Amino acid sequence: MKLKDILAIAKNELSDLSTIENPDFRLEQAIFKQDEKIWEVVVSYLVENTNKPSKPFAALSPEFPFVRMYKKLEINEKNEVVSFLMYDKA
Amino acid sequence: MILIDSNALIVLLIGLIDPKLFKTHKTTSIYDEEDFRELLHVIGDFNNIIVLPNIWTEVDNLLNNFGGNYKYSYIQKITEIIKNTSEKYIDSKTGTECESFFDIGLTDSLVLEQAKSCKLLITSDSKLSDYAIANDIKVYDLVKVKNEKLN
Repeated sequence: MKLKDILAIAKNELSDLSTIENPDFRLEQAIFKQDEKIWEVVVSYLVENTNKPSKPFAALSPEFPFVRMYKKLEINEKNEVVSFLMYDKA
Repeated sequence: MILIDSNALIVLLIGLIDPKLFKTHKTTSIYDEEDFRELLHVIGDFNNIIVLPNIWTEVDNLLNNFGGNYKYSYIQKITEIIKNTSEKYIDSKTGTECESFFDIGLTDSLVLEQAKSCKLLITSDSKLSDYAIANDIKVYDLVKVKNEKLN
């Protein structure tokens, strides 16, 4: 499978998770796990920042209107998303 | 000067060692030789590059586990780049005083701080790129460039 196809599948799967006009979906990583015949994929996208810092933290963190989310997906050889996981960039 | 972050520097080093290795490392898995050539073109001359010591530490921690022939090549290439680039130390206290520290941590906060006085920041970290753009810093974002090709 080509990276272009992987991005298209991931975008299709995640499109409902962001309500903003340009979520800037990005393919961040894509590793083919030979043993399992599965693509392990990390994607990122922007969502509205609805969890702006509360007052005690307001001085510590900038208040941006959007925040970038990262998710890990696993895609099998039939182009099916078989898992959808949280991903910690750190 | 051009400031470069950890993941972009890893792309540069792996490209110099052997572009076939891109697919074997998670952080470089979306890149290929063409992306590497474009990165080299953007950099122009290694003398233009400035690197924070925090970045060298992160990069070496991630890449120093190469085995076999690649280990020697890695040591050669990183030594060559360290010799030909500049290094800038910013104390950690400065990083903790940045408002970005809460969200993106010490190294990326220091990168942002230094990038304010550089003509370009090269990164392959989308979150750092978002922050840099919000701070009016000019960015060459490898992930963005790659995804534009895929779209």
